[in-house]
Amino acid sequence: MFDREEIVPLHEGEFRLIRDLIRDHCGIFFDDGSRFLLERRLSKD
Amino acid sequence: MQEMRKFLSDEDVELRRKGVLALRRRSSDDAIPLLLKAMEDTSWRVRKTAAEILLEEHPPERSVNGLIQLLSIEDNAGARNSAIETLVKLGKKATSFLLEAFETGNRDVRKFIIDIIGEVKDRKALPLLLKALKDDDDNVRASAVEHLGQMGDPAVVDALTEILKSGDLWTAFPAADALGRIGDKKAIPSLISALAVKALREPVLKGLGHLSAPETLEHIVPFLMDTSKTIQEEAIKTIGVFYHNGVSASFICETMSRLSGPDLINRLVSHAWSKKADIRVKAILLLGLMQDERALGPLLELYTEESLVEDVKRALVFIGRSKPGSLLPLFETDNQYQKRFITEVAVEVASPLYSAVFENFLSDGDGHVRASAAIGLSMLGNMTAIQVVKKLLSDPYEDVQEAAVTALSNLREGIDVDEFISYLKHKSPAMRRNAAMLLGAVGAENSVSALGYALKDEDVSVRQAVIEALSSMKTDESVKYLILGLTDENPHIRASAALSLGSVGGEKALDPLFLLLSDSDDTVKVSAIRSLGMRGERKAVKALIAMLADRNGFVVTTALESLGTLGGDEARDALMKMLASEDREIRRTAIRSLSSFEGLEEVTLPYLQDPDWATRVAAIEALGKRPTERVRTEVEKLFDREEDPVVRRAIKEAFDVR
Repeated sequence: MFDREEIVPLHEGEFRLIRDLIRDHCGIFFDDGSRFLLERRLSKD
Repeated sequence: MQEMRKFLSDEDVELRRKGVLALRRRSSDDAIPLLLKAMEDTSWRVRKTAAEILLEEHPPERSVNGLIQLLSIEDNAGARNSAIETLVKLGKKATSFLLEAFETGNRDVRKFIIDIIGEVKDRKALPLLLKALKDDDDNVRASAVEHLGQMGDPAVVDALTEILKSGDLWTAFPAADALGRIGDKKAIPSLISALAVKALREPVLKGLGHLSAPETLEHIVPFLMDTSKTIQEEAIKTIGVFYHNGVSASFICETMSRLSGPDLINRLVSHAWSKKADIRVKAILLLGLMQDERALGPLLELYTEESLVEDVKRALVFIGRSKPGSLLPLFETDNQYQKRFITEVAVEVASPLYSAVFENFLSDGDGHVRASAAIGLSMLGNMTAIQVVKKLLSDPYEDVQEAAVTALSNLREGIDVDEFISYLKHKSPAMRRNAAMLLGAVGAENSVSALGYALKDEDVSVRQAVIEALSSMKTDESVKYLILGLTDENPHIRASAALSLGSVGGEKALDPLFLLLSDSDDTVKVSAIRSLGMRGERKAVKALIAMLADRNGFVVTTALESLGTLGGDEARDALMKMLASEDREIRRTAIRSLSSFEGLEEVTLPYLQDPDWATRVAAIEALGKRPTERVRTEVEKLFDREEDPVVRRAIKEAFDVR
C-alpha cells in the first residue's frame, strides 16, 4: 500500500521448500541467514 | 602410527595439528585413542580438529566413553570443554552412555552430564534429571532444575513444585522460573505461596508473568508499592507481560485501582523516568492503562518501536473509549507517521467526537490517513458522510479508493444503488470498477443486469470487479453471467469466473467448466479443476484423472486435491498411482489427498521414513487426521529419533506430542 514495503514472512517449512526448489532448479543455495533476502524478493510485485 | 604419535607431542602447534589431520581415514582402533589424546592438547585448534574427525569418521559408540573420561580431567578445562561440546553434538546417540556414567562420585562430572543432557533435550533422560533434583551437590541440583524448565515438560511440574516448597533457595530460585516457562497452571498455588518468601519474589513474579493467569494479578499488584525498588520493577514488568499476553486493559486497570493506594500514579510516574528502558516502557503503558493523561504523550512516542506498537495501540484505544476527548490533541501533529497511527487508533475508538477530524483528514496529503479517515467516518454510522466519502472513489491511490468502497458499504442503508449503477458507465475506469465493487459489497441484486452488461467493459480491472460482484449475489441471473465470464478473452477473468462458480450449484456451469480443462492457460485449468472439486462433481472424476498427465505440476497437484475431495474408488486408485511420481511435491500432495480415504494408514505409514523432510511432514499431517493406536505408536517412535525441527513441530501440532 502506497510507499510502504511489506515483507511477507515465510514459515520455516515454506522457506525450506522454496529454498530446495531454487537449489534443485539452478544450484543457488539460500542459507538460514539469507531468509530475509528471499522474503524480500517474494514480497515485491 | 609411531610417527604420528611423535607429531602429536611436538612443541609446534602446526605440526601437532598436521599429526591430527593425518589420522583421517584411519581405522577406529588406530585413530580413536590418538584423537582422544589430541583432545587434551593445549591448543583449541588441535582439539577442534580432533573432535571434527571423531564426529565425522567414527561410530559414536566407539568414542563416547573416552569422551566421558575426558570430563574428569580436573586440571585441563580445554579438554573438558571440548569433550562437552563433542558430546552435545553427538546428541541422543550419547544419552544411554551418559545415563550410565552419571553413577560416579565425581560431582563435577555429574554436573557436566546434566548440562549435556539438558542441552540435547532427550526425553529419555527425564528420569535422570528428576533424580538429579535430589543430588547431594547444590550445583548438580540447580542445573537439573534449570534444564527441566528449558525442556518445558509438564511431567516435571510436581517435582519442581516440591523444590519450590522445600525452602532450599539455591534450587527454588530456578524452579520458580522453570515453572513459569513450562506454563502449567497446576504450579500457580505454590508460586503464589512462594511470594511470601522475600528472596524468591523476583523469580516467582517472573514465573507468574510467563503464566499470565488473570486470577493471579491481585497477588502481584500489591508489590507495585513494595519497599524494594527491585521488586517494584519486577511487578511492573510482570503486569506489562500480562497485558502483552492479552489480559484485558480494563481488568488490569480495575485490579490496580482496587488494590493500590492513591500513591500508585506517582509511583508509576517515577518509574516512567527510569533509566532502564524496559521499566520505563512498561511504566508508561501501565500509566496509560490507569488513563492518566500524563502518559499520553510518552505513550504515543513508543509506537515507533515495532515490538510495542500493538500494546500501545490497545492502551490508547482503551483510554480513548473512556475518555475520547483526551486523544483530540494528539491529532494535531506534523508527524505523518504519528498522524497515521493516531487515526488508526481513532477508527477503533469510533467516537462521534472524532467526526470533524475524520472529515478534515479525508483531504489529508497522506493516503493512509485519508483511507483510515474514510473508514473511521463510516464507523460512526452517519449517512451524511456518504457524500464526502464518495469523492475518494476517484482518489489517485487505488488503496484509498478501496477504503472508500469499504466505508460506503458500511453505510449501505443510505446508498443510492441506482446512482452507482449509473457509474458503471462512467468515463473513468476507476469509477466503473469501484461502482462494481460497491454493488457487490452491498449485495445489490437489482444491479445484476447492469453488471452483466458491464462484463463487456473494455477495461480488464472493471470486468474483474464485475465477476467478484456477481459471485457475491448467487442468483440465477448472476450465475448466467458468471458462465459468460468463462469465455472472456482474458485468462484472469476466466479463472475468477471458474472459481466463483465453485461455490454455486446447478448443471449449467458443468459443460463450460469441462471445456476450461483444455484451456490454453494453466491458471484457468487450475481454477476449473478446483471449481469442479469444490462443487463435488462426481461426474468430473474421469476428466480430473486425465489431468494427472498434464505437464504442469500445479495442474497435477490441484487435480490430486480435487480428486481427494471427490472421493470414490476410481479417484483413490488414481491417487495411489501418483505416489510413485518422481516429482516430490506431487508425491506429497498425493499423500495429503489420500488422507480423506479410510483404511489407508498402511499405505501412508512408510512415508514417515522418507528421506525427504517435507514428505515426512505430509505423511504426519495425513495420518494426524485419523490417529489410530498404531499410527500414534509409529509417530511417537519417529518423534524420538527425528532431528528435523520442522518435522518435529508437525508431529507436535498433529498429535499433541510434547
